[in-house]
Amino acid sequence: MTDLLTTLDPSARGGDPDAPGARALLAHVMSEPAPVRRRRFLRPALVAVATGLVVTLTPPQIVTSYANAAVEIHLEGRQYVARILDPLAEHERFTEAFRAVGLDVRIRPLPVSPLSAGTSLGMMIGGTFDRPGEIGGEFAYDGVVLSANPEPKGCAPAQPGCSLIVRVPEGFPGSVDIRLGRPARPGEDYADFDKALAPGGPLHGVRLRHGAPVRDVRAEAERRGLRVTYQRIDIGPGGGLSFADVTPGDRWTVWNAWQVREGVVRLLVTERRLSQNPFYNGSAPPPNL
Amino acid sequence: MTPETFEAVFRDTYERLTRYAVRRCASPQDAADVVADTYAVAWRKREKIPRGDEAILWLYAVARRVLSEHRRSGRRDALLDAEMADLYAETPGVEMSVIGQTFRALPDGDRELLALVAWEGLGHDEIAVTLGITRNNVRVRLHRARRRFAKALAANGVPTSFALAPLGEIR
Repeated sequence: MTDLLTTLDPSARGGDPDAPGARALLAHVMSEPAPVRRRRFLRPALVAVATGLVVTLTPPQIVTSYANAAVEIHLEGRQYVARILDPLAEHERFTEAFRAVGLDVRIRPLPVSPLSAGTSLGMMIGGTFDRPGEIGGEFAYDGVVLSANPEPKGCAPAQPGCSLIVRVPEGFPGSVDIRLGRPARPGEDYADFDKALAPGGPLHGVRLRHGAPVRDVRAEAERRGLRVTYQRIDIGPGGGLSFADVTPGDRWTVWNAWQVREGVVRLLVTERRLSQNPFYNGSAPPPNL
Repeated sequence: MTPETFEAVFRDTYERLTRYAVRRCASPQDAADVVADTYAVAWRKREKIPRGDEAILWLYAVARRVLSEHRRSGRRDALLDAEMADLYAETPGVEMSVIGQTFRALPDGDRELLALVAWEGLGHDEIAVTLGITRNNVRVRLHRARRRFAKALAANGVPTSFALAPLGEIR
């Protein structure tokens, strides 16, 4: 009898954990600091095991500075400062360097447009620790900042003299996962899809803050040699946006643009003109829009 | 549980958990909220996530509590909403909708049990873990749920062979 229900399954298929929304969700969930927890006593069984380990294993030698072709790490006060020398190096080179100074920091490469190559697309901080905090918008542990930013501040990592600097508190017990942009291979989708309107982006200079007719934006995109795809913006009852492939009319309105992959952009459109840009709902305006 | 292990659990379970949420939420935004809140709870309680095949059952149980609390997630992610919207099946035809309406009119407990069998494809043992009840309790409740569903279907003009199958032989 439950066979009758099988045919009524409301879900056509399951979600893809590699889709951008799913990846963003995972990153968001895992960026939440772990709850404060202190263990006062080890259980006797654990103590026995730990003692056994001390006897049989030589603890790895922790050094306070380390360098290889990919990264250079040294201790400044209570903070390890790592300068990424080659963002395109094998990511094991980074892992081994951080491990040498006693830190669990990994660098995960994600395919990006040339705009974001070498920049951090965000960090995931994991583990159980007390004393989490925030200093100047950056995550901090025991009063010391943990961050991954280009230095000098705001520079483009591809430029000479500019590199990504990762700062991690000395003795940080958690794990850090840094999403580092690597140039996408031909045909690979960009993880930094939201940079289409940024300086250097394929549609930089196109103003969409107050919407623009499909006809005009398409003409400009084609003039720049881009292939154009479209998605209709649907606004849910809670204000959430969803998108569906569509073939728009010339008079539809474009509210935002994404870079899908090299040479391909996606225009986010509505059939009717809205009173305000759905990507800008009165809070902080998204950059470049 | 290390972040890598959590990420592996996420990968292993995401497809099934999204389907669970889609099956129980009318709107993609609500389904996205349930999925997001469930994994947020899982991350906070990651030391309690069982290893192996039981991880998804544990997540179903968390999702069930998230659903029952009717919380609205503060976070809106247009991409995730869009991905959820893609997971919904086409609305079935008129004939099928009678069964659908009958099903939706069942008590919550019956509906959840039948859904876990028909859609999540769980066996009695797995349902027992998900709902935190005994296997025998599952068997009895499921039998009653099926009986009520068959009765309601018959009342709406959809006959089933359920009455002919004795207790114990029904999956």
